[in-house]
Amino acid sequence: MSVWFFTCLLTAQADPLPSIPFETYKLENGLNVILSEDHSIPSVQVNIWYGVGSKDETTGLTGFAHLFEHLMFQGSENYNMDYFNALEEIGASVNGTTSFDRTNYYEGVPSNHLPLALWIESDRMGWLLPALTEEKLQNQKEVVRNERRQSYEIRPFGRVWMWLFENLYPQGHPYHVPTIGKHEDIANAQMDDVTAFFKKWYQPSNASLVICGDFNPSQAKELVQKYFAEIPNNNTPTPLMSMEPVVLKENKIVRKTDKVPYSKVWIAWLSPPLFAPGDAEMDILSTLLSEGKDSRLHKALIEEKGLAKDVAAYQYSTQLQSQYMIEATVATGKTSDEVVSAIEEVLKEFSASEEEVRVAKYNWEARFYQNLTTIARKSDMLNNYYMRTGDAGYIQKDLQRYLDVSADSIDQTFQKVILNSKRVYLHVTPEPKEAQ
Amino acid sequence: MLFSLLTLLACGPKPPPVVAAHSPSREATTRPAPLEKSSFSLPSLEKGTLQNNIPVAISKNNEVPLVYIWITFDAGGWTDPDDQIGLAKATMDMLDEGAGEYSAGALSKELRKLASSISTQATMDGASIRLQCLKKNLKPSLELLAEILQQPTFPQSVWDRKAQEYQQELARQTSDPKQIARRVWRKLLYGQEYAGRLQQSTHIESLSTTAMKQWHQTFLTPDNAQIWVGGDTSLDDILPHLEETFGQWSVESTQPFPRKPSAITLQEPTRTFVYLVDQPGVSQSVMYLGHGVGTKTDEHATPLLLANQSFGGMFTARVNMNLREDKGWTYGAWTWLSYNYYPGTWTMSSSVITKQTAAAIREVIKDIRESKSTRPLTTTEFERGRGDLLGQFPLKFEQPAYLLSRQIEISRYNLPKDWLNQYEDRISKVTLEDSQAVWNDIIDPESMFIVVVGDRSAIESDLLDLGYTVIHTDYNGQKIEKE
Repeated sequence: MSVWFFTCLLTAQADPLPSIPFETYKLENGLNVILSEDHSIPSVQVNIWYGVGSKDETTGLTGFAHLFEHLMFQGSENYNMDYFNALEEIGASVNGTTSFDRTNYYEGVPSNHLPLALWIESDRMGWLLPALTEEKLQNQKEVVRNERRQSYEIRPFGRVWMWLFENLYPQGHPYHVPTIGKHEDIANAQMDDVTAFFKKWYQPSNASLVICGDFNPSQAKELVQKYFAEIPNNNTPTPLMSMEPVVLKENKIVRKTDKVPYSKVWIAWLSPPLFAPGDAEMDILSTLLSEGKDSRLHKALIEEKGLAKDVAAYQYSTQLQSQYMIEATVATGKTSDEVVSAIEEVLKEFSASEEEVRVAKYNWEARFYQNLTTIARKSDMLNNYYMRTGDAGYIQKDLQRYLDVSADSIDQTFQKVILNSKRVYLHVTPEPKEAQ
Repeated sequence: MLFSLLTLLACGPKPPPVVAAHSPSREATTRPAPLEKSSFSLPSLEKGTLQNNIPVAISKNNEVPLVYIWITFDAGGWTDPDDQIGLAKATMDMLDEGAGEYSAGALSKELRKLASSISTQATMDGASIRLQCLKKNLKPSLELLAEILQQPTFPQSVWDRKAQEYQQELARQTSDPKQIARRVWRKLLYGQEYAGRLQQSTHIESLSTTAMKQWHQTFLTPDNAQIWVGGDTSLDDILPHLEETFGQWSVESTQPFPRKPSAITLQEPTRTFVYLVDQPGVSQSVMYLGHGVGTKTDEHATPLLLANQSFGGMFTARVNMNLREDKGWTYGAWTWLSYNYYPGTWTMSSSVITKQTAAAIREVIKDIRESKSTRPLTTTEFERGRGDLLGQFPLKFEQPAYLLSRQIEISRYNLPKDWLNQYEDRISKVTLEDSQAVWNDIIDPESMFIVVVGDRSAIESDLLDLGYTVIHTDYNGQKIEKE
């Protein structure tokens, strides 16, 4: 039954290239606006990215960008109550997220409520501070510290990211501490810090607004003008967009015990930044190393040697520099050192073939279509492309990065970034059982 | 790419006070009126039948050149023998570990050549195999789907390895406070039946490839199958392909289908008890609290849904406003209704800072009591809840998966055929009075199960002060008699 496998694919039955139609312009205050129509359902997404993330925090204020994001939901001068009140009653889906590199806010609303979504977003962009109180700040500090406990502390292996990043990057580097931050810093945040942070970063010229979904463009433009144009741009901040890459000078072996049910091991490297040469190679490398039961790591660690329960290799792409990770769960009765040796054996012998690279690229291409199935995802893609590259229409160039990868370019990147580079080994094992 | 652990989701704020919204600094000081509402009609579902009577339903969506095929079976965790809990799940998991001439690796490789993916799953109530592929690769992808479904080999060597992995997974679940709370909760509600039958290490030891083959033969049969299609195709296009791959599929039935137990009764506490599972040193306690309610088609189900929405189903609902936005004791607190084959449950859950564990329970119980007496649901809360449910309804149909999932539910639980079409009507006609009456009647804070997973040494004396009997259990919900 397998003849057709080799005939019907990879050949040119051309699908339309994945694309997101849009138009874009700037307001006088510098706010970037991107409009993208999609009338498949009567819903519209309003999505704003601010060019500030935890990498831009002042020294000693870890966790602040994220704490600030919480405060953005506490009401603003002309809508001084919980942001969710107005939006839940119309059935909107609302949230915000903060990462190393940026902060985003979004609401998916029934399309007739576009004016409300734009008004309320603009109110907090321009008039947040008059409504902020010490009480709100104190409360959200507690909420965020509980978020830290819930998402990082009581969850098995939840502390791993803190251990990895503090070892990959030196003290003081913007990526040294994960976005959630440290308890003591969150607890120390002051009202003055909040005010200064808002005034510095939450400027229209440091933001990009996407409206994606079911709307009338000329009407949307009027609304954007009406609600956002009156926000003054008081300064034009410059987020940190690049930095001399950190190079690990030696291998680090970190061993931790924690409340975990079994052992896991991570190997982490520093790798090329998002969209930089080599970034797409790292993604395709992940496919060859650990995607599917025929992948190299799966075969060697799980099938042949029975050393691991699962294994995954992935590139976590970020602005200043990225991180490449291989993580594996150690099988019962085996050790994390055995797993590390087996991974290194696979790496030592690695070399990509043209055929497998071609198939991997085909799969990455198909993923682009999947990303286009929701207006929420499309909104984030448009803003991501704009904020990182200055071109909201970067999708085809993005795809092209993957299509340009070759077995040679993978091998070269692999040698440079992985094989011949120092790395961090993190072994996490269960706490010893208490003596009976 | 990937991981949400580094992208920290976060939300908002705090209720009133509403400040008179007058600011000299902005022109647009007042909330704008909505535009004219766009019309919405449910996406349609077309139906057909294969020669061997397998029903086919399709929801078209040609936004991107992708096609989804789901085949569902009326079989799930409820079929597990008492000594082999997890058999349905393990069988579905093993399905793509080898089929016909293909090894697991070869299947993976063939699928990747097509940029297709196939996944299998079993829940308590159902089992399914799902394909996603590019439209142009539909035919070869379907062939692989058929091979996996009809010719699985259940290799012993793979199972030997997987059995170990299952033991590790069980160890993970029984060390994660949230998972422990869920296990104990299920045990308390369902006792020895249905979801109360928790998987143990010995169950995994008892699973065998022989049992899996038998389960496969019994349940994954054409007369127990339905095919659901979504995406960039049409009934006319897809039927010949399905006919070719599944139309001739027949299985000699080896034994009659075991049927689901017709009815079970949820456990009901005579008064409110606290079940405490000790996790020394944790910085938060996970709490689950609630009791059984009727079924999804009961007359009171919709009024109850609306009452729940205002009480705890939204960010701005009372429970979250109190525990998160007023007290700052948690990242979030929610209540929800959940239904399956049997009577449903009403649950409140939250992870709260250790030292406020008992206080949080006291607050929730107080909120429930007051919602039935001195502080009934307000029109504002109620209409916000209704607006939330109605407003989000159309948005859910953006991807065909949602319509298919709801249709599967209708079929699985024997709901009225127009269940989905009547949704907006049902929600619209409930009054606050209906909801409040049903709420008062059903939700009972004096007769609840409360599960707490947390640091016993730090929270027990406060829990005892609440006045409830505190019962110590292990992660299986089994009472610990001797300490």
